[in-house]
Amino acid sequence: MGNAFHLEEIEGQIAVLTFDLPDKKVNTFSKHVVEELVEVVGELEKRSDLRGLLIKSGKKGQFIAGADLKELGALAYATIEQAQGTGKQGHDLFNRISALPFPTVALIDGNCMGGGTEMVLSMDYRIASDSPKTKIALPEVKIGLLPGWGGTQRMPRVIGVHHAIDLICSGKAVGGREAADLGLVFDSVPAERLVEEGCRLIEHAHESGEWKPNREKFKQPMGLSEDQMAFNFAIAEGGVYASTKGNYPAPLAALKAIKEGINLPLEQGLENEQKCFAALFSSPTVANLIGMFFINNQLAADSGVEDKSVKPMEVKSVGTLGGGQMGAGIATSHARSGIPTTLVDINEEQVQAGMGRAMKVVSSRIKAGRASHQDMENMLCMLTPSTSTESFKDADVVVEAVTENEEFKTKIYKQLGEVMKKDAILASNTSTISITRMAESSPNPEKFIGMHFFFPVDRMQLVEVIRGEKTSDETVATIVALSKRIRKTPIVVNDCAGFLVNRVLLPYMNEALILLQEGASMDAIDKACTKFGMPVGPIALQDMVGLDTSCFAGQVLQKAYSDRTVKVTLLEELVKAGRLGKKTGSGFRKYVGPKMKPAPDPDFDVILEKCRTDKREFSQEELTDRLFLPMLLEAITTLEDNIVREPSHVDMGLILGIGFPPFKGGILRWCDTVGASNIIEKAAQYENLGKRYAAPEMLKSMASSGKLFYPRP
Amino acid sequence: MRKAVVIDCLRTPIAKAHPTNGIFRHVRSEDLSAHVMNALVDRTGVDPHIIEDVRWGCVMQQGEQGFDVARVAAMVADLPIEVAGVTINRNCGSSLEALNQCAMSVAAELDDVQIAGGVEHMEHIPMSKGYSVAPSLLYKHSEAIMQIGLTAEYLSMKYQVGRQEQDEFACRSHQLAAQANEKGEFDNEIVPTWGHDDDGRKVLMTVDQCVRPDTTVEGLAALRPVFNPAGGSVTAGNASPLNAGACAMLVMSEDKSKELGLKPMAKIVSSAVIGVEPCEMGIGPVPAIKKVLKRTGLTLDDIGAFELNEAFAVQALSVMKCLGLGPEKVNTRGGSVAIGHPLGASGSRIATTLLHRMRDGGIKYGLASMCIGQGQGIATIFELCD
Repeated sequence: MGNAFHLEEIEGQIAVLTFDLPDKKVNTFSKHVVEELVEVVGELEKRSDLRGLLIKSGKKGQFIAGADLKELGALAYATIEQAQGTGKQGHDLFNRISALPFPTVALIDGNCMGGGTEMVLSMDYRIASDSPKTKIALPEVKIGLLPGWGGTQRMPRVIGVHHAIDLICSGKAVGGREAADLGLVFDSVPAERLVEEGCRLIEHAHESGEWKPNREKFKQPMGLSEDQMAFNFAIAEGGVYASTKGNYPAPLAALKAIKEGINLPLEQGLENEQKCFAALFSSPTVANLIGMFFINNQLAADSGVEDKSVKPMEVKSVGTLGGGQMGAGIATSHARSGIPTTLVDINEEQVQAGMGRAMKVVSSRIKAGRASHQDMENMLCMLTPSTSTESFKDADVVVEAVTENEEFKTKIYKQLGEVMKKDAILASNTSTISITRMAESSPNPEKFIGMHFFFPVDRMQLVEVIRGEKTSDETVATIVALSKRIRKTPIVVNDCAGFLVNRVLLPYMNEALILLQEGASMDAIDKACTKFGMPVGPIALQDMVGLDTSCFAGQVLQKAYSDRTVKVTLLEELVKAGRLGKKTGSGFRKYVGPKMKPAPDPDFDVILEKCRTDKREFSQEELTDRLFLPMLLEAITTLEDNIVREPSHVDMGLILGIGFPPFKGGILRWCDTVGASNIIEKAAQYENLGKRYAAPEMLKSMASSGKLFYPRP
Repeated sequence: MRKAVVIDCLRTPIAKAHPTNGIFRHVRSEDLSAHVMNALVDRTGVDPHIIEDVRWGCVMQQGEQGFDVARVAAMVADLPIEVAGVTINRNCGSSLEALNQCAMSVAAELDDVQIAGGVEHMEHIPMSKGYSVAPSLLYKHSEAIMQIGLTAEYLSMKYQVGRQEQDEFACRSHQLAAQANEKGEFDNEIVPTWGHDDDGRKVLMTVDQCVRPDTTVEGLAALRPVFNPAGGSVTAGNASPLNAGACAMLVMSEDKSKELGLKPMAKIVSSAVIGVEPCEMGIGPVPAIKKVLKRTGLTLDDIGAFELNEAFAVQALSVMKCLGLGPEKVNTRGGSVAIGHPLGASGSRIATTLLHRMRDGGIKYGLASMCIGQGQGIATIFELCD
């Protein structure tokens, strides 16, 4: 027997089972732990002397985190048969817990996730602590799974169909009080009173005798009418389709398990749940999403540098230069995270405009119910406006977000050198200019770095941290730590034109223009991409970003990667014609009505006609290949060129930076799914179009060796 | 058993609930209510001192409709202080319920002379203002039962009533209401009421604001489904709009009317309420009508005029389909899709229109019925007094 569980007896013949995995921060259900729990339950089944059982965690503020991560990683590539086996093990155990010969109460303090939630649902009662750390959830759909240890059957029986669907299909968590309101727990109480309240509930169970008939009732079909079934699930399915566009199989499979199971006896519902769980493993989405989950964990722990002895500097205050959309957004992100921040711009008017933008970020979050007025107050307390760079004299980090002009930027760096502390870091939010080159004009090249945020800053999670040739490890580690502190995901990138995200995005955006010139319709191009899973198509994206911005970035990249970048005249023609995208009312499409809805524009066709190179039809498959192959091949060259350290960084960068579909797990994981040789074969069809379709050496060697970007366990 | 009769009934024009061009944007619920109470007393010449109670339907009883708006409005109307007031809520069926309760009181030989009616100002007090659903309600039900538009979509699916049919019915509603207006058929039921026109001038309003004589099926077909943009059929054009308005009816025992020498319009024969699945709340009139017919021993064929509240075109059509009821006797002066559906006032509004139809056409039996959010049906049968 292992030592994850301790059984003791307290006054009144009540047993307390404490789950406390040795040498771990959190309790998880590994195969060994489950085996041990089976043994404990076996012992308890014989204890007719006990009046009740309380189950709690030995970790403060951590109840049960769910599955063991190593085993989860292995499960990602399970076959349907293997997956079915894991479900049965959990079902057998929890069925036995639900049949123990005395009332049982779960005492939940802290995170209660996945299998942990499914265990407590198999008990007679649950009480949650009122601590803010208490979060109860069935988050399985987030990693492409469904709650396969009874969650889809027991959750509706405990809290009702509507809220069960809501929790299971979104994976969202509820706190103690909300759980009590939903009927998920009996009550929410201070953590120190959990045992006392648990004992009281066991006494109540004996006095009322309700626990026995309740158990019988629980095993019965829920008894929804035909109309209730038809209506509830039509609504729920509509909701899931609207939010997943059918790209994520898990929420729909979970819904199916609920729908098919709730009007069956519990036992049959559980059997059906196993089938629905296993069926998910016929699609690669499970492996992709579990993979993403691990990348997230890995990035959260990544210091950004190889040398583990390097420690980030302490950052007590931050300065941001420039009150435009980016500068104000960056300042707000810091201030919202409780970091004293100074926002500097050239004059009072600009600073006030910047402050206005900062307030708008929070006020629009308040409108959406994602922030409170207190958050606004807190943010404003942390944000100081100023018109003088003198205000940067105490800042540990200054982020520069002024106009994208190298001469202008480097001139300012010289001025900043006179006011900034000697050991302070200067970070540039440039999206196109070389960090290594600009470092030479900075006060200290070792303390100079790129910190590339994406628009809109408050909603885009990615920060590209760009390391120049002379940037020190400490500087990198400090900016990585700071980015995490403001709740962003930093990815460290070595300096090159376009860095990671824009470098990989350009071939795709450029190809969309080439295709337009060859005769493909812009709707067909956009549709091929949204069908692939992109949030918007490349033409629509051009109009959103602004054609002038896109054109400028394109010229920089065209120069840097001239061997494989085709010069496209269309974009320049449109800029010349003053069509800069949505902001000017027209670009590729025109934007009409009070809501600025996109519509086809005959004036555009005239300009396109001038740039046209061909007039032929394209199949959706050809469009998809033409657009995504150059993107993939460029992504592989960033690895070859050591721009990033890991394939997973490329994938996360593109998922967070351009919305590459998460269900595909990232562009390199997509390459693994399709297969290196297949990609090479596809690319070969377009070789005559230019070097952008030539397979990089890395891909060729992967094809011959069978190596993958993500080796399977 | 005493039988209750309706002496007279009248209403305000029904306004669009809109902050900038709703005709009653500057008029409060209490004042709309008091206005129709006074108009009813004036027109019938009844001595207000013999009125015992005001039973007033209202759904969102908060803000200016808060506390007991029946009592507040009776005081605004300066009715004698002894005239009591009670506000009644059976959602959309509230003021038909108020009328039925008056009849019950008469039958029980309790209060005799009473005013029934109702009010709703859906711009000043929006339909779901401040409401949240109890999690404990949602054990078997979806929260979507509270979004009646989705329940209407469900009717369309279950009873196979398509978009075209709905748009045609909605168009009919507008055309019939417009014709009735033209012919002056509402002259006896609408009392001129102060409101504001589009230019902000305060004028006496006499016409229902939402009726659009120029409505066409083609125009309606161009509208996008509101509640289910992907594949739905219910649009702003084939659903009832959001409205403001009030309606009042004078009720008393047949004996009392004789004693006072007041000529009644109709006798209240019987009424019924019943619950249905909330996800198909719109079907409520079907079992309610069957129940009230059974109570009276009458058949559908005996009824010469129907007023079915049109919460949605699809809802009225589903009811008619289930009952096997053709459109000939239904809502011949247009329905709520065109005239409007000021929740708490709608029950007495359709009863008022029905009684005027019966009197104008010499129709012996008339039936008013409505569906009720969260799943109920209500129906009342009237008999013309000669």
